[in-house]
Amino acid sequence: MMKGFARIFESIIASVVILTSLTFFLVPNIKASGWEDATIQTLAQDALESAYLNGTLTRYVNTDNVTSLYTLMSQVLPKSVDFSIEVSGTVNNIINIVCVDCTDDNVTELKTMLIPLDFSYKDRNISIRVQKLSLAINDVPKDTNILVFFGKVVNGANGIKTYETKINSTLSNGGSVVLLSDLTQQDAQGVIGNMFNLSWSNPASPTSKFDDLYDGRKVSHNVARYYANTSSKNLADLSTVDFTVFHQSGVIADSDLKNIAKSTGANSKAFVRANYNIVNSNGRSVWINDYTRTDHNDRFTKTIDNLTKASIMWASGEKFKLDIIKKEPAPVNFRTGILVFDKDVYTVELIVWRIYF
Amino acid sequence: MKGVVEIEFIISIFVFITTVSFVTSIVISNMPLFHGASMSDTLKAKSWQYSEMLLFDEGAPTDWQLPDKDVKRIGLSNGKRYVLDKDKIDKLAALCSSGYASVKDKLGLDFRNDIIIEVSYLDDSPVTGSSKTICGPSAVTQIRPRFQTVRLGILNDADKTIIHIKAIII
Repeated sequence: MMKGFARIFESIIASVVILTSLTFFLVPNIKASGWEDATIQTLAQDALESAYLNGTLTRYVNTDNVTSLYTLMSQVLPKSVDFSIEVSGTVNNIINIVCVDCTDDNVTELKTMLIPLDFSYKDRNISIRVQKLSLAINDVPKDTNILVFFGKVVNGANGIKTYETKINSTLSNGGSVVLLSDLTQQDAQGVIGNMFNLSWSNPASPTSKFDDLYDGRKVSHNVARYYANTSSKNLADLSTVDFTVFHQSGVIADSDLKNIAKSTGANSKAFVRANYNIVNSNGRSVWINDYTRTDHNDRFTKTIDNLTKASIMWASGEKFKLDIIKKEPAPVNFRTGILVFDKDVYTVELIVWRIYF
Repeated sequence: MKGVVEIEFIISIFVFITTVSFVTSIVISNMPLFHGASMSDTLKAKSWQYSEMLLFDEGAPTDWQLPDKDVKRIGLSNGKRYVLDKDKIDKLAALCSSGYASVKDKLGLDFRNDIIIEVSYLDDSPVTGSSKTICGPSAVTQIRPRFQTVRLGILNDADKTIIHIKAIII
């Protein structure tokens, strides 16, 4: 009799256990639909499109009017979000250059090459600011766009090699490095060759031209656009422009997208060559072969001065923020962009994130 | 002993029925949650859908804002993306004030939902008339769930003024 009750008791306990475990599997699982995120993204896209169509976006970008741009976006976006505006594909409005371990004469020479330092590019005011800095005792300032090495030798040693760590850190953060120097085979096969993507053969004729004026994938096209604008020429006019006073170069003009100026014909040599996406898919570099710089009023020297300036404009990173204060987007953010067809073609991105998570 | 059932059988039946009832009650109690989420998503989807329609569709006929036109479908675009026709906004406000039901019908909304359309400048002042609300039912209950989608466009005036357009589905 007791055996029978024990079985019944067992079965009741078993059923209670089964029922309890069932509750675990029957919890309603309703996933967030994501409509709130979609709404913010849609509104951000609308804000960009509307501001572009009514002309305020291009006007504020051209005039660097961050205050009005901030006011406009604050009006159209919800109060619960913060935002940052990034422009890419055109020259930075302010180009901060650090001339590494330069003398005062070097800085003066660099400024002479880039003169005028404040100029207009397609109705935008561009300002180049040069300061000298000893990297041995200072860190690279955060707002630096370009580290310029005026010659490969700094304090009696290879500057690129000496400051490789600091340069790589700058490149990793989206900065650039420009080297103005004649090179040797040893340089091209060492740290410099690696950073500037150079290879070597026998030096040849110093006369060169833009690699390609019209192929939008090539750096030479982008530099040529800046060159044409700053020298009041059309892109087509540049086909007749020769760079004649470069020193001899043995750097091979590899068949890639990175040559800016190269000699024509077979086995051509590069005289200005770029590199990009160097560290962590960030950073740009430009190597410029040195040239005769005794008289900057000489038209042949002036031609290469203009080329140097155009290369510096490309090396600015062609990416800048239009924020009223420095902002770092939250880890979870929404990015929407618009391609602006103004006098220049560039992209404006609106990055939006929630203030409260 | 015909007709007599063993106690073990009775208890097993009892346990079985209890289990089935328990599962059924849990499933039934979850239904309102799923239904609520589904209703909410439907409202959001409809709100977005109507905001798209008002912002990007010209309506039918495309010049339905003109007098004596037989309005078949309502859209506020002037044909260019993000550009809203001021005359169409005015006409929609006029149509709505004379008969919300017919506008609702032209918008393709069924009896289960209502729509409130608001159009305002960025400083929150109305684009037409004295109120931001250019269309909506005369009486609106506050207890029904609602979802709003805010969009931005520009007016086809000389200044290309940026305006808010809000589609609230109730």
